[in-house]
Amino acid sequence: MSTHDPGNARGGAKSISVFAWIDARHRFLLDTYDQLLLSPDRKHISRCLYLAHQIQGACKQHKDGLLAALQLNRNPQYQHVKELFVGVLCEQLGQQAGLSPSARLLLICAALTQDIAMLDLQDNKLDRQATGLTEGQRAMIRKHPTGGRRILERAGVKDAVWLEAVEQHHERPDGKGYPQGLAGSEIALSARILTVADVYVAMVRPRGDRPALSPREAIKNIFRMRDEQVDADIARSLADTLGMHPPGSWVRLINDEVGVVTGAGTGHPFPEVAVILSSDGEHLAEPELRDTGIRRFTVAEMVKAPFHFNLSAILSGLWPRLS
Amino acid sequence: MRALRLEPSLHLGIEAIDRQHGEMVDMINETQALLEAEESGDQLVQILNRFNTLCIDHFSTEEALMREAGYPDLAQHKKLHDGSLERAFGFDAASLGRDKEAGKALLQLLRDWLLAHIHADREMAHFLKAQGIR
Repeated sequence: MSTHDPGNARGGAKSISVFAWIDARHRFLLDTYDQLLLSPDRKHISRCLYLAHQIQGACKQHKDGLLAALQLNRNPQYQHVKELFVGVLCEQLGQQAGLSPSARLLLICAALTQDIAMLDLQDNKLDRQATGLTEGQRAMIRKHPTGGRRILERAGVKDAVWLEAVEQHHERPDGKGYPQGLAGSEIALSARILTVADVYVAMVRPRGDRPALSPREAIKNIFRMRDEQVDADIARSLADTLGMHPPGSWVRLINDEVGVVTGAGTGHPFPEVAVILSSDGEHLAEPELRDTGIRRFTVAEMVKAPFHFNLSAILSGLWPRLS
Repeated sequence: MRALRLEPSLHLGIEAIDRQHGEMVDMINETQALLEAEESGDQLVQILNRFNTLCIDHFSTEEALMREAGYPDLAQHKKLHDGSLERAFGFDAASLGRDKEAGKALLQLLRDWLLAHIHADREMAHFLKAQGIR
């Protein structure tokens, strides 16, 4: 269910909006990184497991809301929202691939810690750097999958699903990846899933050297990489899972209304859209839900986030709150 | 123009593939009927959206079968798929709402896609059937 009664949604005593939920988990993740790098030990590994468990639970409650909040997050202060986004996608793709809940939990942990060995580089530079990589940066990037595995092992992680996914998330089916140059099914399923989720999230978020791609373009581009850079079955599964207009996408309808996709609605390719700008460009005080399977509400195209005087309040009320 | 039918001669004898080709034929006929009835563009946009989704499904289905059977011309066939994918995703959906000519271009795109596609699929189907895939 992607529609809900906003009155009811505000009812839960300790419930918070999906945006506040992401914000809190993001802070928790940053603290976890700090502690894990200071003293890699079992205690901090259990923080990862705890966060992964929360992500898995929240996906069960309302995956559309999570996907939307992650898609809509554009604030550069949220450096590691990327890892949360990848974790949520891994949960969905892992389900499609038939992984057990406990294997998916470890896969989410891998998503959260995939770049643990190059956090400094990311925090300071890469996302804002408009020029090419330096020699030193390149070397650090090539070493980070192995380095990440080593940090995790030192902290007491023994689970193969987690360690392999981190170590192999830059391997490619055509054998041209790193660090080991593994090919095809030599690459663990968990790593193949993590790669697709990671590439997708990187594409739909803006980076120093290029703007964000629309989800539709990203899904097409990833499908074009099938068999070479990414696993073909997982690439297809990504398209199946998200559709062409995943939650959080801004769209213009054929009647010129502009709104945000709230959920799958009657199914791909007819998502449900909450309209916030009328056909004349007027700011609506309350969002209006549209079933895009109805002709006059057909999705015409993806657009950039519009300006609306009350945007964040409206968005906060669109998805059920999380505990 | 007469409605297209998936004549028995166009059947490749592999169920999953024939079913998806059948969906394409339906889409082409719907597009044609919409253009003849001079309907507004909204339903054409829905067809384009369905077409994009079908492309990914259909190419995945075919390539998975080819991979399983060890089809020697897989790489070549994939290139055809990639070209079709770019054309399908490159089509300007917004133009369908305002420009009558865009509707005709969509119909042309769908027809070309199907005909070129079925032609190229024939050899593949021959090989797959020899491997016992139905």
